[in-house]
Amino acid sequence: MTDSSLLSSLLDALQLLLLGDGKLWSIILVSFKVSSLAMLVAALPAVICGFLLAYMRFPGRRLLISLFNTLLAVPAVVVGLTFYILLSRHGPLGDWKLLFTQTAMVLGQIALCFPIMVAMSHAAFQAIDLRAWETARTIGAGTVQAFMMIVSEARYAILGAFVAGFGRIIAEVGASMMLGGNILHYTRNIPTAIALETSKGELSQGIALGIVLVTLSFLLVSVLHYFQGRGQIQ
Amino acid sequence: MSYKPTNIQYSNIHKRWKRHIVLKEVDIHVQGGHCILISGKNGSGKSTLLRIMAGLVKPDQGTIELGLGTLPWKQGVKITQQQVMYLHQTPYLFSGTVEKNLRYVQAAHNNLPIEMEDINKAMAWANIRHLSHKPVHQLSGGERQRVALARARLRSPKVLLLDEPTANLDKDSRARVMELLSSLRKQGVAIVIASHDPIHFSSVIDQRLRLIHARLEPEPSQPDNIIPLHERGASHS
Ligand SMILES: Nc1ncnc2c1ncn2[C@@H]1O[C@H](COP(=O)(O)OP(=O)(O)OP(=O)(O)O)[C@@H](O)[C@H]1O
Ligand SMILES: [Mg+2]
Repeated sequence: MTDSSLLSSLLDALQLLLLGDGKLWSIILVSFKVSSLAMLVAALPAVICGFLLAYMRFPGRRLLISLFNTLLAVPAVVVGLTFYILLSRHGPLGDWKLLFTQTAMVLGQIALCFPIMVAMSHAAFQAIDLRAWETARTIGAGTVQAFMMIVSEARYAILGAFVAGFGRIIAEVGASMMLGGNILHYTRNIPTAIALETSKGELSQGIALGIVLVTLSFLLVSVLHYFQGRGQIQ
Repeated sequence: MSYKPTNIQYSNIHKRWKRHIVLKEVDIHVQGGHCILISGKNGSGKSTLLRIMAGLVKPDQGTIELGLGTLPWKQGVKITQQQVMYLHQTPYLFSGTVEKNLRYVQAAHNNLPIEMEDINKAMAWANIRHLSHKPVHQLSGGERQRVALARARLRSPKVLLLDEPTANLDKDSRARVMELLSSLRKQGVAIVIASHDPIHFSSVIDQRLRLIHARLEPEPSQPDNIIPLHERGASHS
């Protein structure tokens, strides 16, 4: 490829972004819709799990902790494959007819971001002194209220866990491709579109979406750093 | 609302950490308006006993009697937990300002409204009013202790368990703690103090106990003149 064609692709990409190309923005919208939904479902249960693992003593606790730590390293394609088998027509959940829908993508992304958010909020709660919980209880807070007080103590680290969870799913290709099927205006999101457009030789589309992802990653990392910094000052 | 004096009998408390027996057949009776001092060496189990009474640590054995008959621990502690407040040896303060920490008591205690006026009063009483907007991580050890005491005053529990409440305090603050304790005692609060330095508390103590070899025993009575004169002066001011 010559330099000039790369440059013109880049210019085309910027033009697509700035002029608000309909197809491009529908792809970006799918990405955000699916990943936000997954986060919405997974965030609170993950924080509660992290809390229970950090503060409660029950049999199997250590095993669960290593399980989540293992799960967070499982490649997205493998998660995709697992859900593909479950949801495919002859699979155990085949009757739900969910394969190649946004719901299937949301399910896969929940499975991807949940373990990392559990592991990170577990670490966040572990950094908070047990006396915080005891103090909350002894000044008269009920279980839920005491939980909220501890969450507030660990807020920066927990926000960090959310950012990391979102970062894990917004840019992954494997699960989205296998579970969504890359259908335009429905299940085609940023990463699957990049893979497709590039393979078709439509570099400018790919680059435009790549710019969106890189900008987003940069923002997420900055936010993460900010929260980690705030957490340390406390 | 009819007034019913607090009366809790904790009986036959046993506690082991791994193979180390910390408490054995411990009985303790707390009564409204009555102040108990538990002394004992470092590691004798004073904190453990108070934390068990506060419901923060589960004993291996034990029962609670509340005037409704004897209850198994699990059942009894659910009731007593709401009346008992425990002050840590080194207090934990929530991140944020001093005032926010006192507001937390208000929030936690929403069935019993605490007004800003009460918060201000508690701060003035503990001599921390000038610190009200200071972030707690900037406070000194004694100042933190005073915030914890202001929190206790706001919460106004029926039973107050204090773990080394004067360890970090200078003479003035110690005198203030004595004031708090004697005023709470007059209001009918049951008080239990754990300290290996029992000499400061003589003005409020009704009963002295000692933890020794995992058992709680009455302290052999000691002559009054052990108490240094300047300390007695401080505790009455
Ligand atoms: N969570 C725990 N796990 C294991 N052992 C513990 C735990 N808490 C206390 N212990 C042990 O129990 C014993 C009694 O401890 P405790 O804190 O009750 O003593 P204490 O009388 O309050 O001592 P101090 O005067 O130093 O405050 C100690 O030997 C301590 O090591
Ligand atoms: Mg102690």
